[in-house]
Amino acid sequence: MMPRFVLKSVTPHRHQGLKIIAVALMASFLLVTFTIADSLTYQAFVSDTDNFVLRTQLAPPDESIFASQDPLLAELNQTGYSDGAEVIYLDMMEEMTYSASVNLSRNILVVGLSSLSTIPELENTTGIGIEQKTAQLFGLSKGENITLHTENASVTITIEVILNLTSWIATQTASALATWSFPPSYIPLFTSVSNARNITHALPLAYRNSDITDWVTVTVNITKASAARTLNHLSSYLESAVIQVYDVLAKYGTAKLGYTPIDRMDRFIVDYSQIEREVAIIVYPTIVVSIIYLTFMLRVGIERQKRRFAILLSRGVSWFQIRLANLVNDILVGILGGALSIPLAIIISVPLLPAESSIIIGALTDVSELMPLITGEILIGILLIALPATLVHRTFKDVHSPVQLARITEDDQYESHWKMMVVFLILALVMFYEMLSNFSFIQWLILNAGNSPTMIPVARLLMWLELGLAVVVPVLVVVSVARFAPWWHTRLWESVARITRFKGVGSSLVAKALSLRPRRSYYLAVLFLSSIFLATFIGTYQATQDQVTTVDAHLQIGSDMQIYLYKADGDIITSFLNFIAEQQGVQEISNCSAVYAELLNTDGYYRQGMMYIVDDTYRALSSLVEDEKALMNKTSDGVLVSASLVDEFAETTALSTVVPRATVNVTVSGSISFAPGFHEEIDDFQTSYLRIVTSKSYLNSLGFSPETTDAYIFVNTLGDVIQLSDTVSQWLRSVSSVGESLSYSVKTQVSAIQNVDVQTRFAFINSSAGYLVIAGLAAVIMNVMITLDEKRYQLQVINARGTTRRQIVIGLSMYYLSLAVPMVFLGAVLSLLYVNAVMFAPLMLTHELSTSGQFQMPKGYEVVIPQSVVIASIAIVVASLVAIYVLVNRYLQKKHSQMEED
Amino acid sequence: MLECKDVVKIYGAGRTKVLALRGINLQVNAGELIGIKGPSGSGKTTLLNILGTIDMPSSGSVVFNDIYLEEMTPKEIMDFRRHQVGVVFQFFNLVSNLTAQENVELPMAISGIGASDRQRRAVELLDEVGVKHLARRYPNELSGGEMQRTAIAVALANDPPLILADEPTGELDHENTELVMDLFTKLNKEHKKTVIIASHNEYLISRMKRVIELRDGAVFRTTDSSLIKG
Repeated sequence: MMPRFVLKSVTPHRHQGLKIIAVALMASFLLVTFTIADSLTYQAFVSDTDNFVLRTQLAPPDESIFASQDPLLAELNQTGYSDGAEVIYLDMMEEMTYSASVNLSRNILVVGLSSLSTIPELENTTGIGIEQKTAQLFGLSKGENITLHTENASVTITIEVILNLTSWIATQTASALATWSFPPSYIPLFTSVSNARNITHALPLAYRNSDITDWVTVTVNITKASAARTLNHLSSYLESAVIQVYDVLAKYGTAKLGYTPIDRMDRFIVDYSQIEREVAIIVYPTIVVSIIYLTFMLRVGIERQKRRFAILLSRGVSWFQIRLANLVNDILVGILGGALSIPLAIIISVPLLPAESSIIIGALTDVSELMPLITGEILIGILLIALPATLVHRTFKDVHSPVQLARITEDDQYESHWKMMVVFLILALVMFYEMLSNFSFIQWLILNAGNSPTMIPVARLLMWLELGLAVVVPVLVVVSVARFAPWWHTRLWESVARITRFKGVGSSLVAKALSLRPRRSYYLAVLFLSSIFLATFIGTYQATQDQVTTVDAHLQIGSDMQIYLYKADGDIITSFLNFIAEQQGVQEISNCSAVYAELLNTDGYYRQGMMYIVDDTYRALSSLVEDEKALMNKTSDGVLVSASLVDEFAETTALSTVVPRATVNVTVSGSISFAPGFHEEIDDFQTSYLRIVTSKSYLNSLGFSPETTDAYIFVNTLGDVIQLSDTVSQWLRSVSSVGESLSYSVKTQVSAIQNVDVQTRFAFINSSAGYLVIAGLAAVIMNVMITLDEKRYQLQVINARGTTRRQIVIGLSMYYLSLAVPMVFLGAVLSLLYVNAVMFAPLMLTHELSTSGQFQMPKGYEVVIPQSVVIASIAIVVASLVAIYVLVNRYLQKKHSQMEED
Repeated sequence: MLECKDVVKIYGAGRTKVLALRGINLQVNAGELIGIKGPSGSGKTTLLNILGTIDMPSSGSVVFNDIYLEEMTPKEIMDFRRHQVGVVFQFFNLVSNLTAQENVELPMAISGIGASDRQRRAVELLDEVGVKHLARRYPNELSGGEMQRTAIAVALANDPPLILADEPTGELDHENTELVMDLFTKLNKEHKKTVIIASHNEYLISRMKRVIELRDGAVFRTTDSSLIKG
């Protein structure tokens, strides 16, 4: 039985309120972080795909399906997407790839798309259609000829129609087709549906069987699907959609699932795992620190109530009743805090979220989903309080009735925690071994799981677990180390007390008084350390991530800016190079040409891709990674290929180009990973495109001099990149009809450096850092208050004996500084190690495991410590000292009678 | 009623060992009013704590109505604290977030007395100690004397036969000391309670029938005023 009075006595109201707010904040923060991760991923996915194209492969093609198109469409609409989404297009696209030259000036890849049924202009013609934007980009017009090539033949065909997709078919379909994105080196061609089977007439080349794919395209407007409003919903929705489409198709002919939206989404999720990684990196320290704070709060609560427990015990209350009352109290705190976390999370997350979809808002639209959310949050609330409550369980043992009832405070005994610390250190060693080992089991699992869609959740879980381990273990080590703070801090202040005796009794008394309760030093040490650790870590992580993102963007662009010049003759290139060289801040310019080429190995296996022919100016680019630069100089008598493809080719292989038609034997001399501008790309068709880099002099030495009018110009500048981009656009418009498109292209690439999505995530990380720093600071101030509360009697006695307030403030400030400075240093060092561990070690492992090649860190992949971190660290210490000054004055003004209140 | 047999209490361990009580032998009859005096550190509080089962002797026995306190189970100790003894402390030890009446109700609530009965009795007890009008006030709204009178009501809540008071007037002025002492005398005479009071206060001690003086953890002298007068 537990009388109401016991419960009431055990749980002072003010503590209750604080604990509920603390639990609510922590639980809401968890919810907010998950919501933001989900929302960012969902939004990025939806904005990327808009109206989703579900492509289901038919093998073998069965035209009977198309004969029954209307009933099939009707059935899909009826059975497949009855929850608000709609099937807005169904057709077959026959896809072939050709090499082609347009106006004999550019090597491109052509994708032939047939069977678009409603292009009247293409009916009964042997010509082709080109989409309007593509035509603008390449400067093509109606009636112009395109030459298509295979290995043995070529044909010139005429552009019959410039297609305006938005007027030609439904807007949604047009945008859906647009999402079937084509890299700049593609020209999608369209032929008439009536000629779908006469494609050899329209494109009279012996096409390669391996290049033909028949697709049923179902475009679904997912924004209208009420069941697909969050990432998790979307995943299950698409899965069921694919199954239903397959079932329906199976009724009409022989069908098998080919490339589905699930494939794309899974790939997308893997790509966006970085968001989750960032969220996890924030969430785990938050959880750990939250638990530390709650533990302190509970421990302080118990310590402050020891006398009360003693009173209750003296009145006949049993230990069981007191502990039960505490348990009930904690559960109530967990329930209330968990429940309160939901509205709190909504208040916090709504302004942060860029769009409407999120876990919370998704749940709010469906009451049936709100209950699990509430239940889940309440459970999280209880869990958040349960662990600290368990951790402070031992504190009850310190309640010693005779002592508490007589108001005598016990002396702290220094406890040896070396055993615990040894365990944590062993754990830390295992963790670091795990992270740094080349054969890390977890990494292996993550990588392999990532390759299988069904294993994605497992991979995500593993990633979270590993990151969790990476956070929790260092914190445990830190906490263990901090446990030794009382030992040295007490001795330090005992020494200070001895030394200052010669300078005045006041300071000596303060120092002596402060050294009496070493356990407080431990609390404060952990709080200082965790706050500094987090502030440094988050700030450093952000700055480092920012730099890595910028470095990545530079590597992909190849410089501060990369400009394609299509169909540009020598004069235009020369004048452009002169123009760009005159611009303010421009430091380096490199002009590379490129041809579309194939590499063939001795087994007849070939890979197609762009070959960049570079010269010495490219090798001199400062944005070129030193290792790659050395590699290029060392292996200048050969071609370098993408790292993941190098194993497919022997040293000697054949290189073949389409324009001009030529084949030469070359040496594959190595692989490249981070050559500027030549990052490996994987397109929507899941094809990895070979990147080849070779030197002009090497090709010339082989008697091979491909002359192209395509130029890739790399520019590095000390000036404003955006401004330079505008200037370049103006110049391009003045000399080329395709200037507008090119300027867009340039801007797109430049903006990659200043990615809005990345900035959103950084804003989120900043807000998280702010949250944690404020929480840490609040906890430090709370701790100072408690310490003063505990020592105020001693301090007042010292004050009464003639020590001035100034001496006390100075004494206290020195006391805290002596604790804070080493903790700041330790926290900063640990956080830097942690940034290295979570950011670069996995990168290294992932790279090495996936490519079996030695990872070479690109230049700029290094930890960056921003000034704000240093300022934040100083601010925490200064704010603590200000708090000490204010609080000391406040406490010393209290009357003696107040000191004896419970 | 209550007997101490060679009660020894040692605090600490090893080199820091402190001998607080050095073999106390004491017999207390029902209905006695006993004072325990002695200088600081003589063992007054330790002895009272042991008699009230707040602490346990290191050796020796305390027998209460033929029950050996050191042999009691934790449950029996709780029952003893609830029904057999009421303790009054120097610093009152009222629960700060309970009102005066709730503080008095607390021991009764723990003992399972129904709400209406305990409320009635709490009001009666507060009336008896003269603070009925302050029943709804919290401890921090009471003066020292009012708090101590409330604490006495708390000690009486379950009508225990034994009342232990450790420096009950240590924080009170002379006027309140008189009031509190009158209360203890009234408890002893009218309610037939056995009262043991530990105090420095010579005036307070002088009103006791029997005074036990402790020095260095041992009984130095026992004075029975009724015998002297007789």
